[in-house]
Amino acid sequence: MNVEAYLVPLAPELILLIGACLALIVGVIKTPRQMQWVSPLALVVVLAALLATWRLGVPDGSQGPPGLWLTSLTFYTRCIALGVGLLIVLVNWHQPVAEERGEYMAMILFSLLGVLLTASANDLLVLFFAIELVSVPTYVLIALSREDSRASEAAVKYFFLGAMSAAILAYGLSFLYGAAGTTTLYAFDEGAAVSKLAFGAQMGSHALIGLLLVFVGLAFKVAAVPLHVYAADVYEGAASPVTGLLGFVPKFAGFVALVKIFGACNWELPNTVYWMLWVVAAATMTAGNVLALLQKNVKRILAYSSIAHTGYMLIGLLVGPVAGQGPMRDGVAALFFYVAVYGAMNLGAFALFAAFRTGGRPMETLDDLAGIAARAPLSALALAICVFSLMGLPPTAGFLGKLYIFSSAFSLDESHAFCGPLIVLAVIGVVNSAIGAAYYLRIVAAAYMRGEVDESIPTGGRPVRWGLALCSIPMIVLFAWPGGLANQARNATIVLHDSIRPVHARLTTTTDATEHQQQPAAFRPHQAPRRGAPGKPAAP
Amino acid sequence: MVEFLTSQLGVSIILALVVIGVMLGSVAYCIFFERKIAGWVQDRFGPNRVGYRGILQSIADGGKLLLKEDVIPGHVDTPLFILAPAIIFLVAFVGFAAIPWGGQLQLGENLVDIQVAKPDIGLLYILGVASIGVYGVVLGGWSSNNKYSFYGGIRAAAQMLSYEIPLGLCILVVVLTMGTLRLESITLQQTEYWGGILPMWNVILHPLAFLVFLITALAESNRMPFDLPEAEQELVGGYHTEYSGLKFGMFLLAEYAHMITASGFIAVLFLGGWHFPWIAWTQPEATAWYAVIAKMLVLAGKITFFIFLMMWLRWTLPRLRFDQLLRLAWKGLIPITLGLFTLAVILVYVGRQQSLPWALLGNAVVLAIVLAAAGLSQVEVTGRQANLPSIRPGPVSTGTART
Amino acid sequence: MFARAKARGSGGLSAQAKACGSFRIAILLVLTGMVLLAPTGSVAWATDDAVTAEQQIGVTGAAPPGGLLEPILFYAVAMTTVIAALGVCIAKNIVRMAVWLFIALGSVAMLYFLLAADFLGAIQLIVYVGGTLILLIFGVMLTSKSPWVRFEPPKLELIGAAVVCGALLVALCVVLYSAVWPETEGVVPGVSVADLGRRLLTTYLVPFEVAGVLLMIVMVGAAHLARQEK
Repeated sequence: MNVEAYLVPLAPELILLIGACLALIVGVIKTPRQMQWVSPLALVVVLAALLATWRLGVPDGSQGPPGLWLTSLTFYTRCIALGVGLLIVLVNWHQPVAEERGEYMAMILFSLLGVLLTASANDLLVLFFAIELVSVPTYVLIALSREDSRASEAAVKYFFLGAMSAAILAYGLSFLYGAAGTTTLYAFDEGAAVSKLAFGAQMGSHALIGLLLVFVGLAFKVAAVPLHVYAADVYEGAASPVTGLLGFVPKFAGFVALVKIFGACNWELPNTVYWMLWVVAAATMTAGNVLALLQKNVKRILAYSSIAHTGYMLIGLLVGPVAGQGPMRDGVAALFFYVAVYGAMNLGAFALFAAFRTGGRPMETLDDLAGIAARAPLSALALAICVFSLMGLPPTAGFLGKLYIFSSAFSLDESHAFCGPLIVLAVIGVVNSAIGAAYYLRIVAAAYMRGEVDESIPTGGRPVRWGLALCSIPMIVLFAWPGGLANQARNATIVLHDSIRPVHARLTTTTDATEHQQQPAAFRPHQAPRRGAPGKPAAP
Repeated sequence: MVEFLTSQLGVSIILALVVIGVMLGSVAYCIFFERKIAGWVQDRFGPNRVGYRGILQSIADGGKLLLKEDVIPGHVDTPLFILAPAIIFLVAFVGFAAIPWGGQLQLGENLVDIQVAKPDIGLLYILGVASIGVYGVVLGGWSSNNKYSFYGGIRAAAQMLSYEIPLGLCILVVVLTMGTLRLESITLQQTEYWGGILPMWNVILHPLAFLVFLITALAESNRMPFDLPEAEQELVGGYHTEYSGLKFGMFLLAEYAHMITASGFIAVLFLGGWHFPWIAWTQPEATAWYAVIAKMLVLAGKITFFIFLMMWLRWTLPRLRFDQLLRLAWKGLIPITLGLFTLAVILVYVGRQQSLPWALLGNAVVLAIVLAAAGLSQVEVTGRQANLPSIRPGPVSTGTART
Repeated sequence: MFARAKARGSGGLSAQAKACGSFRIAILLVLTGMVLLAPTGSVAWATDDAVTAEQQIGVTGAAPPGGLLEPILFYAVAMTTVIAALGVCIAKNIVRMAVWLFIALGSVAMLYFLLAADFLGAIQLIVYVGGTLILLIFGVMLTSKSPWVRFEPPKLELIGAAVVCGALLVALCVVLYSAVWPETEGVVPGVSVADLGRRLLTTYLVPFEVAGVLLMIVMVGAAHLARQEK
């Protein structure tokens, strides 16, 4: 077996897999002393996977087993998922209290593994399994997160709806398979990656219905509007640290999968799809923000805010990748940037609820939050940073994320067929951000302006506080130096665009496994015209 | 016409008809056989009134069942009540289609297989069909709308689900060793020899897997130590309490047909099917009609032996309690078969021709581990079921007898 | 065929005594024979191991060896599937639903057999048809308090479901007729189990392994959710 070509490029995934299995095995030993080792184990595993990612660098796409295509998108996803995963492990450090922590940490690691695999999937089957690998552990996590009938209810609700969405997704993928005649996304022919799903804008009805069903299936994972109804109940039912995970992991995987599918279609989507996406994006933003205004429970507020953020991200998806541009003009790069930032700031907000208890129960409502600033000024500051970032106020990375998204829409070329509606959508987004400020300010106001209603007692331990700090500090740092992340986000989208897709040949799922043809891999840095604007040159 | 009859299709059709006929007959006689063995075990005569030494007893029983009133109680779910025996009866007989009865036969110019069907997926076909069988029991129990029948059905479902796993793993052991799912090539591969003398039967290579397979086959056909779905003493007949007449007869016939299928399956998988070592007539090269008859007789003899074994066990062993039954499957057989499965993987690496000492060593190791684990475990084999609330001491009878 | 007196009076064992047992057993024998012959029909042509569906169906598009039997069987089984699927929707009793589902999945397995996808058919039988049992058990357990409990969904929900299903049906029909499916050249060769296994462990190794990991997680999760009820 060709270990060099098959296993080494997958080192981060394998480390996660082995680590998760180890955690499961440790979980069988039910003594409290052993349980203490599970969280450090998970932390070490994620760190090792990050280290492996760093050592491997950006994969050139020429290696890896059939069914996977390791590209710059893989690299970006690995970095972000494992980076936020690190914070997730920290925030969940003392979760759950019962002796089920082995399984719990294993589920977190499995979920991260699913995200990583989603990004490198080159086969519809792998994509489907990877998405399920993200989802299934989350159902278990919710149920394990606390011993409460609400958690069980949330888990069961999430499970049934998730199973339904998985069925729809599989149905859609089967149509795509029927239309393309293969489950492979990209075939590698004579050194070029050729998309098998490139049907063109005049795609047949079977491909169209497949695409729509896939979107519906993934819309559930990202909590877009008609399929958002579960979000508030599930977020409320789960314990806060898990809720922080729920806001990021399925959403990231869902968007990566959407980007991969649309990318495989070369972003030549029929107008039907564009309009549907438009309506969904507008409805998601508005519904999320308006409904959040009506809530008292902070977890429900953040749940609806999560829906609203999905709406903003959908704008980036609609704009699509613009060859070789940074996130200021490239919608998908902006989306990737935003997802990463959102993962950290959302987790930070929930981390505070994991770090304190009021009145003998976990913190949940605005009243519980009242007066936290006097008792724990640093934690309150971290919360404020995260919430301001969610709001999109300037000294934070959240502002940059929104700026990138909206500017990518505004900077669309006028010859683009969908330019007008997208600008309208971006305006809706701006208006919505303003609405959103109202409820975010309520959270900050409760923390800073009001006196304590009930005494808040620090719970969790130092790791949770570390997690909180590590969620909030990067918000400020990223605002000052966004270059690294933005560049990586730009690089990640390179593989999506037909004209600048890297040139390489590799093992494919269609050819026999023995015909391993390799070519020197290199990104072809040629200047590509922007979509819809054939004549206009783009900056390298 | 002759051309058709000597072709593979013709032979298959004839064989199918013959097999069904012979099976129905032998199933009837299985019941007679069973009663005779019961008599032998319990030191009495058994049926001896009808015909010479009771030999016509089965025909009399069959006639009785045919002519009896076919009662459909008013409180049952009628369509399912009728469907249940049909399913179980059908399934019990369909499995025979894939069993290779007698190698190949030279018919004029054609070399035909004495096998009804030769699917590429032989083993999976039988497994798939067998997995349907339990529906008959569960539906029969549920549609009867009777507490005891219902318990029988539920028990059958849990038992089948549990014992299908070790069964499947044992089959996987054989599949790994043989590298094929076709029953005829599994038989054929067992006709080779180690050192020219010892036949390459799987039972020699995997004695433990053979034992576990025997146990699970017993459980799958609801035979005695595992006959909890019926359990006359507790459930008054279990899932077939409400059945009478021919429908009851179908359940009865299906049970025996199931035994024959299971025995044939064991013979083919582990004991070389129609092969008997050192006799020229039962070698694969012999294709004359007398050789085929000899092969069929060999297979029939092996099947008879296993049927006898099952009946003997039935009248010897007591019934397991339900928690013991499930514990045996999940904590006993499944770990063992997982170990055997790993062993089989290693043996594939070694190669079948060289693997005999390794196989025996591996089986010895697994057996030692099992014995050690059994010795070290503190689980009581008998006595009251664990994890039950303690019985409050009190008067045995509350005084007022309710009738 | 199963004539019976539909007397449900007074809880007693109302019975009917039409002794037509021999007739019934004859019918059952014929049925058994048919089922026995069904694999024969598809396999008898392939007497040699090398001969697969490729030669059965004929690459040149010649008539299938089963002649008219094959389309007749196909449509009969397809109709059974549809009727059974409708039965799942229409049945009011949860166990009846499971039985209809069992029939529907079983006839899908038959379809696979007819299309020379033997392995898929067997797996369908083992995994889906066998797995419906669990559903059945759930149904039985949920309704164990009163066995004849019926599902009576509100009218509004029924109408909504009907509208959605109707729309989906229309959409799918439109898709089926308007779409240009990619043509495969000639006849797809039948795939042997050995070939399938080899593919699973080479080209499709990653999905195979990921599916394994997923199933393990599902098992761990299910065990935990089941144990939660303390």
